[in-house]
Amino acid sequence: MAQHIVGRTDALSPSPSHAPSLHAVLVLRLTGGLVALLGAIISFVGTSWDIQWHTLIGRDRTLIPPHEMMLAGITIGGIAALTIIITETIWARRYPHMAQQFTPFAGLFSGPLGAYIVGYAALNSAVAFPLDTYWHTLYGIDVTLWAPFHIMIISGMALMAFGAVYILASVAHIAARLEARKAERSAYLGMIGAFAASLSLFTLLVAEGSGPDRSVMLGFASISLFPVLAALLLGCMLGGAAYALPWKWVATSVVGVSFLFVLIDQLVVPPALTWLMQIEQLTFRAGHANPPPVSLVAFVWPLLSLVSAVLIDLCMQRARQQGWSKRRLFISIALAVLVGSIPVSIEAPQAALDLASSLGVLGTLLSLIIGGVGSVVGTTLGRSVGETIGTLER
Amino acid sequence: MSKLFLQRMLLIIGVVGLGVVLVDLVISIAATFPGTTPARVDHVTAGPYHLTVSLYTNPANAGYALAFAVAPTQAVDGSLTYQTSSLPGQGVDATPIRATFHTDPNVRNGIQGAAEITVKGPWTLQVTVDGAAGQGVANIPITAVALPPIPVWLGWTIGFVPFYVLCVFFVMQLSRNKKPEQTGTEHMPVPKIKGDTLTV
Repeated sequence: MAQHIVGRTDALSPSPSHAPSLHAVLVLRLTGGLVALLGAIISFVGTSWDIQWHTLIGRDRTLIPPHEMMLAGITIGGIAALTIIITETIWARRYPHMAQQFTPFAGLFSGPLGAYIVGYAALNSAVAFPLDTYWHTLYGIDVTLWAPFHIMIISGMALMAFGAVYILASVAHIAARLEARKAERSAYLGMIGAFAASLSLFTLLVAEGSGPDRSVMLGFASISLFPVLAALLLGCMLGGAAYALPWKWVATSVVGVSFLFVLIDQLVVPPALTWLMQIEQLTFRAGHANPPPVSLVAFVWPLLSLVSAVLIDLCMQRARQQGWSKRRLFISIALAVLVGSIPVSIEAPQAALDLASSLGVLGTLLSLIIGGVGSVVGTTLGRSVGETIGTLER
Repeated sequence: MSKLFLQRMLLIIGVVGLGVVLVDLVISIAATFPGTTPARVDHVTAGPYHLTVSLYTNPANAGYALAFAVAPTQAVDGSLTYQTSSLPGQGVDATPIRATFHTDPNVRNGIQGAAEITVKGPWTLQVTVDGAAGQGVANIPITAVALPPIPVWLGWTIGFVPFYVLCVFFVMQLSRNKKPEQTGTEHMPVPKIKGDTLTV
């Protein structure tokens, strides 16, 4: 394979002829990005296991196996980011002509933008763990994801996957420049996986908002936060993926992969819980005796995100074929995103109707209007993410 | 404030955060090991057995393991088997937790272990002993304390840190992407289709 030396190749010491090739940068980032993605997926399965554990058994010690799995995922992501940053910092210092390939940070480090995101996101989750333990020592074993440090842990893990998208995007563009088609394809596939992992982890938080007990009282009406949160998330992630990747059916692939993660949950989590209960000789909490062998996460997973994704992809294809204006495409995607903000799950196929009846006409209308605003903001962010990722090389 | 200054601040915050995680990890691991001198020694009766229960932290620190040791006060015929658990007291929002332990190499029929105390308040360390003379249970009351509470609003403020960072990131990205010539009426370029790859 041809070796592409970056920048000038004259008169720098150590000799630029010994400088790592652009291909080496590509391999490092591709490996690091995929490892960070693996960390995020491990974290997702660990979190699903933890949700099952907390709901059915209760919270006991800090280092239970589901927590260890989550921490393992976070550690893997953090180490991947650190490895990329340290290696590229060494390269940038040793071979200054390579510096243009890297994003500098604090005047000390060099690396791809995504690696900084992954590193900080992993650190954020790691810091949130002892804070969560502290919070539990004060306020007990609240079985809800909407607790301050649960949000901090899960959003950190989701941002880890989001950072992996940026790392892999830089790989895809470097690979395109080098005409390394396999690496380019791997990077794009990795980006779809990373978008899906980020979407899945954020969905854990968003799905919690679909219950009527999560409504916000405004005095004159109650509103549900699910539509606005789901619209923000889907607009940002699916919109971002659809704008960034030059493939057909990107948004559908992202949601499809996230459904695959949920299927893995369904296959892994219930037997893992049973196995661990036997080992640790635990019993179910009162009111949860003999639960069905299903993953609680899979049971409440919002299903209409798939419809939303298919609509987004159809819009993108129409826009490309018929030369839609950017405005028309934007509005179509925002409307498609809004479809996914209606709560429907296996547990409650009629969740939207239940929610509407509990909110009343005014509350439902207000929730949909706020959801519409979320859809516009989410799609704007998604387009911005897509535009940045579409050209990102460092 | 320059970009470099902000990045350095972020770096310092990151290093401090990493330091906090590592210190907490060391404290958590250290809490599982018994010290040289117990902080509290209780002599209890578990059915036919007289036991000495040593607690190495008193009061216990909620959120960390409580190292303990159990040994028969008098010589016992045959061997003893134990089961130990920490049980939350009334009003404590927690679940019972089985404690881990191992044989004390220096004391015949003695054990050393660590009980998890997850929430502040009253707890009970329950020791169940089985031996040739039958089974007995001893309950040792424990009080668990926590660090001074942070206000709920402050907890939520810290919990949303990733979203503040994400918002700043998006704002920076939006301002970078914004080009004056964009009118919103431009047309999407029609892509060239090559295999299953669309290139715009």
